[in-house]
Amino acid sequence: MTESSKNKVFVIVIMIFLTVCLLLYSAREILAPFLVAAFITYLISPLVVKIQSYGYRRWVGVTIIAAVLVACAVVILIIFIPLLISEIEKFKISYFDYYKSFSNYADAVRNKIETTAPIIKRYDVSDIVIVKIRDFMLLKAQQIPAYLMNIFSIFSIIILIPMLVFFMLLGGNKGINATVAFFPSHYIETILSIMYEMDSVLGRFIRGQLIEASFVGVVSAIFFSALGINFALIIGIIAGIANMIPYFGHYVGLVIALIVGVIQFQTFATAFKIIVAYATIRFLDNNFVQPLAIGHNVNLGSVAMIFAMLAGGQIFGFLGVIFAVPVMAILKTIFIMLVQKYKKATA
Amino acid sequence: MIKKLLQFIFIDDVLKGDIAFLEKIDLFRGLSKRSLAKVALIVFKKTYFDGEKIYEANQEANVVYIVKNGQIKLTGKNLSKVVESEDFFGERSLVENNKHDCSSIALKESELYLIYRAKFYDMAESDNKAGFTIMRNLASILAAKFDSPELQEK
Repeated sequence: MTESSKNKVFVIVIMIFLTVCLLLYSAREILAPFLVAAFITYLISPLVVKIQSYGYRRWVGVTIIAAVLVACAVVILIIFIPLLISEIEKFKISYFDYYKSFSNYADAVRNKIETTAPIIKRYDVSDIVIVKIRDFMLLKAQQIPAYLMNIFSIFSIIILIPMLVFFMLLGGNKGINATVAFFPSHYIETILSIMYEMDSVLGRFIRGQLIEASFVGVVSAIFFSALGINFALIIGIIAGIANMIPYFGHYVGLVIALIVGVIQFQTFATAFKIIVAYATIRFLDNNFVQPLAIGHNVNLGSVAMIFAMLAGGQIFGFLGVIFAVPVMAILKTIFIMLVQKYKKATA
Repeated sequence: MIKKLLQFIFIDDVLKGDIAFLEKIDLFRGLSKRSLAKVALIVFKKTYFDGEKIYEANQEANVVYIVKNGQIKLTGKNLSKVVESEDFFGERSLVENNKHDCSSIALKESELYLIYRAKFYDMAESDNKAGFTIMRNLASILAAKFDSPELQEK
């Protein structure tokens, strides 16, 4: 490889990368359904390939999978959607009762604490904490159901996402084959390495995350319903989605369940039960689900991961937080490969 | 009649053709139709034009090339060979992460099937029997090459 051709490759790679970033940034408002569709496609494309390996056309595999998914979706719509909507409505109606109960409960706890430790009263610590929580409850927490509904509008859920998944599945490897056909033969082996690494990192990550999120969501909803906690389904959904966020995500479900449970029952015994349930979920997740979903391990350092999440959140919002880690892992993989190639070429 | 119509609708002719072609390749001798289909599904197809370089010596090697049709010339230190339809080259990349020890060029427009090593490993992991059969075939192909009088003399 001559010096000038090496430089050309670098310039082209950097230009493509910057253009893709710019395009994604400008289209960030409409990105959510595409990302979710890609998520689902990655999860189920191995099943389509399995059906294909029996000699059937790709559309046969896609149609069989689509039929199964539509049947599942219908069952979910019939059983869970009315339940979810009623929980959201219940949440909206009883929210201010919760707020009042919390205020009363917080005042009682504050009086108790301030009697035993007067120094807290002197520095208004409890006032500051209570005001912060009240502000959060009034401004942010009330918007959670609306936010959940807004991320995926009804149009996205019912029409756009399934349609995108169908076409992505039907397309299969056409994009990759077109890329292989397009690139000069000299770069084919490099292009295949990069594409395989990207596919591998992203595929493993997405499958791993979805398996784990589904497990945490479903089991949380079941456990919290068994404990009689209100809005167990909403808490389960939030816990499942938040579980995809490294480090902090695991605790979101616990915190929400604790707030709802303590306000509802006004006893510390409930808090203890919720913590035990949460510890059980984490134990099952760590020991039985995570070994199955090993793909979520993307070999990124903690600082890089936190930076990626914050930057993703800043640019693309909540979905940016979830997708920041695999994107960062892909960039790292490509970067390492390019550096290795550059070193080999200059050696 | 109905059977033929159903086959026409549901059975993938391209895949069927690829299976029939891969069946003739020594590397895939003894594989079941299902395993051949799995191999066919991880293949990348690329057409090389007359005189187009496929790879050069010392370039990274992680693909095995199967010639569907056309002619490819391999040129190395002690090697000058023309590979034709139903033959393959670059098979060493399936066993080791190394560099190509020769260069290759298309002598006329040639269609090649490319199998990327990591993709092949994934397939072999999911279908152990096929993976073992291919590796056994590869071992005997490489052994035959090392036993060749041409190589013994050197």
